[in-house]
Amino acid sequence: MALVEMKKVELALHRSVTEKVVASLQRLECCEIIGYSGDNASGETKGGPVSEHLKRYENLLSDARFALRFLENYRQGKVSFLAKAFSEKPHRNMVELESLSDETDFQDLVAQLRGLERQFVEIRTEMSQLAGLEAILGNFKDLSQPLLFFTTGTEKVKGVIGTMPVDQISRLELAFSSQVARDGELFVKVTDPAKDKDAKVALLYLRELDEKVSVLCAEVSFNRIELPRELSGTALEEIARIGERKTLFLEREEVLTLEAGRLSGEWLDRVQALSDFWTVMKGRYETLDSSESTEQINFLRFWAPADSLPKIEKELEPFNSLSDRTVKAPEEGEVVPSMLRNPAWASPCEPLTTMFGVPTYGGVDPTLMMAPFFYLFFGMCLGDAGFGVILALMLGGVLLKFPIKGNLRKFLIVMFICSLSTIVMGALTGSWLANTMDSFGFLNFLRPLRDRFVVWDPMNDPMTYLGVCLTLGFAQLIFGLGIAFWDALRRRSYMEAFADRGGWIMLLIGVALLFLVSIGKAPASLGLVAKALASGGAIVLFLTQGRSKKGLLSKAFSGALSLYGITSYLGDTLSYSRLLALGLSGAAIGLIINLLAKMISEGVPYVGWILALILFVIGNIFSLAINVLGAFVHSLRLQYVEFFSKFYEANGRIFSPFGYETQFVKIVESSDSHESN
Amino acid sequence: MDQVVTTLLTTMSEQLGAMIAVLGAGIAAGFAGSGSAIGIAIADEAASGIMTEDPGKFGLALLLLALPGTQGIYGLLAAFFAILKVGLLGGAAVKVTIWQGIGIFGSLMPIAIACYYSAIAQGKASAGAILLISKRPEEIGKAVILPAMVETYAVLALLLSIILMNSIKL
Repeated sequence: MALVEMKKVELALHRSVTEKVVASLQRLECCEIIGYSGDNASGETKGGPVSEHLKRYENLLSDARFALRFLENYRQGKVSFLAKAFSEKPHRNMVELESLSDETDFQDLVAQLRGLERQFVEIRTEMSQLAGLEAILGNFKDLSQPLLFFTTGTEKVKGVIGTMPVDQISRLELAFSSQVARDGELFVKVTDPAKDKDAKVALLYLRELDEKVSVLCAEVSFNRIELPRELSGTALEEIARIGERKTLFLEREEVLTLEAGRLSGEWLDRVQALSDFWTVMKGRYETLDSSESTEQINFLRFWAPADSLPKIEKELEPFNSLSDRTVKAPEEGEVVPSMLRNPAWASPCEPLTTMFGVPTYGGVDPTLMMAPFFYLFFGMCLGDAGFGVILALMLGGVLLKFPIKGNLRKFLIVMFICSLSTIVMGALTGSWLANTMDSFGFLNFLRPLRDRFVVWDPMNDPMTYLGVCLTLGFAQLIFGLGIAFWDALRRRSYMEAFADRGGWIMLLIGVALLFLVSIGKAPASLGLVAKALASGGAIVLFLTQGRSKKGLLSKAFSGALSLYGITSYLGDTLSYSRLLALGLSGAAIGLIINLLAKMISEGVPYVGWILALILFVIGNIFSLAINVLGAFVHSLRLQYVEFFSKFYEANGRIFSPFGYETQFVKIVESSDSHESN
Repeated sequence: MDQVVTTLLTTMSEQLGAMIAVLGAGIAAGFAGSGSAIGIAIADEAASGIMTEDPGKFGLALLLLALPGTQGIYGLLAAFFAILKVGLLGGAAVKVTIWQGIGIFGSLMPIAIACYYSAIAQGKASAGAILLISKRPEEIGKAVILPAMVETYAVLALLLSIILMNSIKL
């Protein structure tokens, strides 16, 4: 329950071996590099080759990001969600990756891809322009004159096309017939007189009337549409021509898509592997870049778990003649990273702990103490053996079938253990998909078997089960105080241990015993002990809780006031009643589903049982989903709010070792274990 | 005249109790459901908002905006319990006096009131949490816990309603 002990290692290395040492440390994945934050960090001694390498990898990675985005877009054959989420990354080793990186003409690929992308963009622009033009010409389909008149015009004739408000049309027609008369032609189209506000209008006239027509147009708010100059045929002809061009573009796009798909099939895996390799290399040079150095010597400092020091020593043995190593314990005031280590049954809960906060180094890691309570409380909240069995089968199947790693695996294991606990709690409370065994006659034969395990019946006797929940809650609170007591002892702050924690533990146990005696659940002979404990605890608290205050009166006042804190313990204990409520709500929803299913199966002739089965299945899936969410959230909340608040200090920083941070491939040891660099 | 009064009183004493319980059940399910609907709508607005930026957050947002939905279920649950208790869902006929009916009505009030208000409040909390995951989706764990703090009081109300209803002996 304590955290892993950390040591600080300081390495002085000769320039010639620094890169190799950094590579070795990266492969070990157990050192957290402490960056040098001095003023002359980027002094003249650095720069040079390291910065160049760094820059090179950064550029490669930025190209790789582009290439990956492009290639993934054109990936052929979709990958199923499950496979994507759970499938194992391909294994590669560094030697292999390095030669892949050397052999690959990545710049050529990127140039190809950029070329392809540019062509796609061009096609898309052209297509949208054509679509726009097509829409405009569509309005003038009925115009029989060639568009040549409206674009450049001929020597004598000129024309304009455009839109104008429908209510101005009569005015235009009047003016046109009086001013242009026989020297021009007017084309007006209103598609839908009821709705259209704008009419499509084309005017054709002798060139010499140009000015007159311009004035006329301005008067009726005519809005001119400029057409591209190359249009010469009639609107219909031009539309047909646009159609042909669009087909051509589509064909070209298809060819390009095929090409992109081919490239994706050929390159995607390789680029993914390369991107990971370059990320690793970039990390390596970043570490080098952040180290302090003189002309000949580089200084590396890092945190490492004490028990991995022999491994590190062995790894660095070949460089012993060119390096110097000191190992130190953490000093006062240093922020040491925290690394959690717990037995297999509890370690899946580590993400739940760090979600609340990372334990302070030197403090308590609550994972081990929380895990059993969390599993138990989840089981009580979900509280149905049927649900437990379904969940256990599902999770077990997923865990066995897919090689899942990391936090997702831990989460699934937590849920698996929780589902086992749900089966136990469901069996103890006699809930198997609620009262299914009672509701449906053909399952009645299972009842004797079920009843053999039943200890509590929260449905018919909720008060007893409430007592169980509150007792468990009280036990967890006292346990939390006990941990704080132990932690204070360990840190030799005896006043905190005995006065702050001990006082409360005595008082709370005394009060709880008094309560039990008063309701007749504990022998009356304990009454005296209870009173002694309670008053002893209260006196300790009264005498000590004002110790930081000055003056007798304010000491006494603070001491007395601290006793008011008992209400918060009362509230915390009552908070555990949610275990009963959530358990009941799950069971009650199940009860209702069964009731409705039974009514349907008996009430509807012939197909009733099918409808009932559908209702039963869908209802239970729904109930399972919301109850799992509720059970998870509320049992976690009990840990965070009620339990952790008693002792847990979460001001730490998680230990994040320098290693292979990959996205697509898993880097494994190569057969010849030392890579050349 | 006397006879009319007698008949009236007889039917009242026979049926009014159960009907008062039904009234309570209606109020419980109605108010709890309304609260959940309002709460989810509040969270919905935030969810739609963040999805304009990143539609991929749908799954996470759905998880969070489903949280204020529990109150509606609690209300329905308590209502079912009540009508089950007064024998309106089949089973042996139960005789419910007016006073017992009023008792059942009263036992449904915690759930009706607390679920209505807590669902709306939880909707606001969920909306906030949805904004949190829009920036930091990796914090989904914390984002789920925060709105669940509000739900505590709906859970307590459900607990009290069930205990109260259980304590009324028919």
